[in-house]
Amino acid sequence: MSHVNHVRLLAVSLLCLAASSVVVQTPCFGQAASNNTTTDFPGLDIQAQIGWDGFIDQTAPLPISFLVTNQSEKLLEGELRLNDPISGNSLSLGELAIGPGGTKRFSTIQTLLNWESCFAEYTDGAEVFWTRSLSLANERYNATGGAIMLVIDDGSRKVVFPTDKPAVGGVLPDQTIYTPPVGQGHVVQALSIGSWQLPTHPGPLTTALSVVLTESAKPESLNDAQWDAMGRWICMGGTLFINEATPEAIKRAEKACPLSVLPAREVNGFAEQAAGAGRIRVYRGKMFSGDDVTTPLSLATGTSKLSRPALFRALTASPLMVYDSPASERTRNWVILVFTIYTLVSGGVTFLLFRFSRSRLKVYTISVVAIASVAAAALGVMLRNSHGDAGWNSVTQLSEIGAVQGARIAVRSAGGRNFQLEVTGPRVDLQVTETDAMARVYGPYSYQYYDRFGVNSRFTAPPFSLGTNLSEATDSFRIQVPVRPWGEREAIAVGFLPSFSGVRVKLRYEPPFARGELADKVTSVDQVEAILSTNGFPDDAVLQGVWTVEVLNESPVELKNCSLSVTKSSVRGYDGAERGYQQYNEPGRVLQNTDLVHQVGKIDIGDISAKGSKSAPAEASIRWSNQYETYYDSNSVSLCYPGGTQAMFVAGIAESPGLRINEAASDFQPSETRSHMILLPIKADDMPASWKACHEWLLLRQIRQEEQVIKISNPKTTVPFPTFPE
Amino acid sequence: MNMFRQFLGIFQNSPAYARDRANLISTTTIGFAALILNGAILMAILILLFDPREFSGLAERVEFGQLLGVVLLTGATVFATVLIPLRLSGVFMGPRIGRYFDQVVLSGISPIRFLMGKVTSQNLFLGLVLFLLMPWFVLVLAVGGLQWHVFIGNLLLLWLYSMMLALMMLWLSLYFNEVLALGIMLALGAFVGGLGCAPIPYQPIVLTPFPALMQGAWTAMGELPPELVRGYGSIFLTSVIGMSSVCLIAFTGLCLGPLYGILRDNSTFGEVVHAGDSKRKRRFRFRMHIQRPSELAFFYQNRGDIFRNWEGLLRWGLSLGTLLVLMTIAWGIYWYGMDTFYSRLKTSPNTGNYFFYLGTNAIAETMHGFTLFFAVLFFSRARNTMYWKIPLIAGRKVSIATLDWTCFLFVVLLSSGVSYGLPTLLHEWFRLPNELLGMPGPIVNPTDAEWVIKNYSGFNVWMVHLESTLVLSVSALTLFLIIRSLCVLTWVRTVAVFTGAAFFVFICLPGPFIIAGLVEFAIKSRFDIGTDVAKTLAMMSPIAVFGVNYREIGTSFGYHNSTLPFYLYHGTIIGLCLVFLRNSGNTLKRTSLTWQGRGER
Repeated sequence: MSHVNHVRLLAVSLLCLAASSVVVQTPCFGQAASNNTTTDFPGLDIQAQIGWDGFIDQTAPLPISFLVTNQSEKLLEGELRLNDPISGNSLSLGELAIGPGGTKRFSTIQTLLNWESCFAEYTDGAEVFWTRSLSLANERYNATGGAIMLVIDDGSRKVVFPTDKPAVGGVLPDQTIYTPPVGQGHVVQALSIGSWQLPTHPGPLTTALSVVLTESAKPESLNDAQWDAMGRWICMGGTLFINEATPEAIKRAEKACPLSVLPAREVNGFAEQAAGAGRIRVYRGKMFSGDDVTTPLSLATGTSKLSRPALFRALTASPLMVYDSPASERTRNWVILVFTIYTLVSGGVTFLLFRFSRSRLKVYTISVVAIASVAAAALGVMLRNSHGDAGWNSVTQLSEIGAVQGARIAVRSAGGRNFQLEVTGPRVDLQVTETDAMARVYGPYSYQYYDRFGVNSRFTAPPFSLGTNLSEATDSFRIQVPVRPWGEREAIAVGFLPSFSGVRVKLRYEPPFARGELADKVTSVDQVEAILSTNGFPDDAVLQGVWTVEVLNESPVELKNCSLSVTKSSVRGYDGAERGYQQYNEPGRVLQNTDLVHQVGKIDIGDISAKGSKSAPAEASIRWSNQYETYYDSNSVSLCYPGGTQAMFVAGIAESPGLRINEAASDFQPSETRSHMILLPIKADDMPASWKACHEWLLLRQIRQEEQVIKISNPKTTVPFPTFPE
Repeated sequence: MNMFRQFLGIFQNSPAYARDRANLISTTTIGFAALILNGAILMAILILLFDPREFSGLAERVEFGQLLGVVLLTGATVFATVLIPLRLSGVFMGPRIGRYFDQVVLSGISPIRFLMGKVTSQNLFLGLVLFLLMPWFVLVLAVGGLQWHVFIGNLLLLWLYSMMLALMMLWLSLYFNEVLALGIMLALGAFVGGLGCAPIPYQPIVLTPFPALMQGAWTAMGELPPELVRGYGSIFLTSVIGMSSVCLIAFTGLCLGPLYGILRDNSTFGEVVHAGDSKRKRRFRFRMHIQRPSELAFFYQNRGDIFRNWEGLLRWGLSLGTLLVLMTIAWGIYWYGMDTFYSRLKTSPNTGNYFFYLGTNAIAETMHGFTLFFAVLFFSRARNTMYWKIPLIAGRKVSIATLDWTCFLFVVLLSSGVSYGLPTLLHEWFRLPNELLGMPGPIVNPTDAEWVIKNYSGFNVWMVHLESTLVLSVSALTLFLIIRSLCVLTWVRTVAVFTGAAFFVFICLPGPFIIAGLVEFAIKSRFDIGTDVAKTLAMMSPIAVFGVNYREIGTSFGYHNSTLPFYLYHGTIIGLCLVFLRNSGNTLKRTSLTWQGRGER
């Protein structure tokens, strides 16, 4: 017995020892071993990027792109998410299912204005298949004031331009930036991306002045949604460069345009087809052919002399507020009325009831509170079901055939939340913008001036998170507008009007030194030089010429308050503009685009009836503004390139020609706050040759003169600047 | 069970409660509450309605119903902060002016039962306020978006806050005139409320519902760093703990009541009679500052026996316990902070500099100084109770003076030990490299090194710390004796404490400096008295001693002056106070003991 007990004891002891060894090796509950290393799902490869090629503009629609490849044998189903562990923000981008051996593109547009960091993950809830940190830093900040040329190529090749700039501090200059001679166009930043990064909405493309499809482009390089976005962007004022060796891609691009594409004509060495406010330019040569950079340079030069699209600039130029908001005022007045009465009856009147007994006073108080509670309940129900107000303005940019119309809609809640807004119109798109969020991040007035941190975004669409169309009807777009009670939000709509056009503008300019017949002969800088040197006119005589404007309105709408704006370029310190700080302080430096200013002149034309025409008086004088807009100033509104000149016909119209707020399907009532205008940018070819010659001559003269000033003078001796004591 | 019944009895059948309940339904109460409360909330809502863009950051992230709920409870909290102290400002004044306070005293009602009636009646008032807000709550529900758990939590905090306000107001009313107590409460309420509203991470002011109310708004508006944002549950819990602690302390204070001895002068119910009053004019015979606490002292004779037999232990134990708890918290934070800093210093020595040790020791000395000031405040009594004898444990009597002295000296010794010992222990504990321990510490810049060596040669940081601690302790002892001497003369402790403190701060501390200045600039040339005499005179002040110790007084004064004048000067003051206390104090002691013995017979 005793022996058996000892054996049992020994066995139990060994068992305890074995168990304890297991327990000791296992971490206790509070110290569970954590596995911080994350591994991707085997066979899953995801490329992800916010923005393009290091360019991130948070004040414009921000593209987020994923290229997902599943090399595993398993069907993966999950959700793509973005998380910011610092600010606690989290965003679901949508569901994504990808079969074995499949490849999928996923792109979206999101506003990440108050995000500190960004982690993307692909997860099915239980398992994280893939996670990465995505950079939110804009590495191309220095070039955002210039023009962006987006080069789409699936070969992972990058466009570089030759440069003679020396390395600074061992760092080579950025060879993706093309800098033209001063006064010869925008600085161009080339961004090289893969086709999977092209968005499915034209919004992000508005940051680019041109898109280049390389010689490897095929119709199937882009999916239908991407082609559609490209076509819409072109008609909104974009320029697509496409290689002549890819005729199928050219046809696909033409097909994608929602407005008619005109036959090709030769412009600056490219075969150009106008499409709405934009154009398709066919180029020759190869983008990537060894050391030959002729083609990239020609495309960069072509991009540098493009005017910026006018649509969003015109839409966002002035603040849009719902001044007239009857619905929200009505509900607000109800709230004030109910609770003011309650306050007076429960407070003020009670004081007068001093003769009431306690029981009667009790009954009175309970009755007042009960009635007020019922009224408050009714008020709450009314607020929840109330319709808000909508104020809007629209800009219609005309082209030879068709027009593109943009509308900016401000909505105000009348006490409810989460309203629906529907806009109808041909090929309409509608998005809720994040102007309020931008105002919080960048300042209270950034809803008006989108580009407090760069010129580029002034001309782009405002930032938004891509919304889907809730309407099933064609040519209508319905969205959910998350707005707090009595809060305001903004939305932006764009539509394409294929049949709305018919305004023709003819310009003539007579320099004061070459009136009448002679004016037509002034077509080159040399002729201007010759005439001026013979007759001894002063330099600024070119500004004193006479403009003649003839407008033929073949459209069915009456044009009101018509005017023509002419933009010209000059060097700071000339034509009345003040010299720049650098011009004073850095003698010997090279003249730059920053030394140029734009000046706008306006010619008032008056009203023009439908199917009518009008000419400005023969001696119509142009009123040059005293405001000089430097190219890099945040207040710059000039659409033309540095050193360029441009004209724009502007008129007001009574009704929107295409887009409408569908009151029946919207929870907002359009208020009286509305204005509609049309724009017609005058093509460079249609500008008077005499004006172009005079303008170019004057600018060149100013540039040469200023270069001499910089070279020979030492302004520090003449213009004292405070210096710090040694 | 019996004790539980007794405890419940405190809250039941209070005539004060019945009186307040009877007065609640009146046109004045309802009309005033409704008009002010609803008007204020309507104004707040109007701002939101008329300028939504101004609050877009808040409105975009917080549901309107939730925002409205916060506005309602914020309004109710502000309302409570003003009206609850106001409603309680007549707790003793009413019966005294109405001439029925003697009836209250003679009825034998327990003071705590009388006062708790006033506290519990505030629930009725709070209920009325919430009832008047009913339509607003209905609107919040109808509009939607309310976070129920937050709303209910805030409502609970509001109730707790109301109770805290009531208890605090009553507690203060025992020691101050009600009007003064009301002023103090409103000032405290505004100060604490204002701090509670501030967007401070880990908000330490948890004595109001404001941190919990505002937390959502600050987080939504991005005013708090995201990594420092606490959850609502955490803020709710700390607020409950903070306000409950104050409630408990105030409740205990109400149970104990003021310690106010009945001597010959204030032993009559209605008036105070000093010797020789029959010869004084009538207007000099009004002594309201003695009469009011004397009446309260009579009222507190109605307390239960448990308080009488253990009064000494309860009062001094609680005072000492509170002080020790505060000390523990303060030194705990000090230890934690130093621990963190030392750990960092060990791994990266360049983060320290040669002023580091001076700084840490100065913090320790500052905490030591504050501890001693609170000890002086806690353990000083006015003349009527100074030599009174009270039961310490189970009815065994001890002199109040003995208890005060014992506790004060205990705190002085303990605080001195901790103030010197803890920093030393920390240095020993971490065993930092020698170059960090000595003075000067790590020096990166050679110019700095030269300056430090020139100015701090022969500087022993630990001896400086030891002497500074000692100087503080001696100064505190001097202040304590000055105040005790004044307490012999006055009937109100607060007057004695603040007069004594003012005398010490404005006369004793700068006095030697002024005399030294006179010697240096006026008498020196005429009487050929050297600068050394002026320095010696100046060194009588602790300011000069600290200036020399920390080398802040200037090189022209020098850093090697003897501190003996300080000890002689303070020793003289201590001696004078002891002599005064021996003479006048003994007379008072005899009178007190005689009168107390007569009263007990």
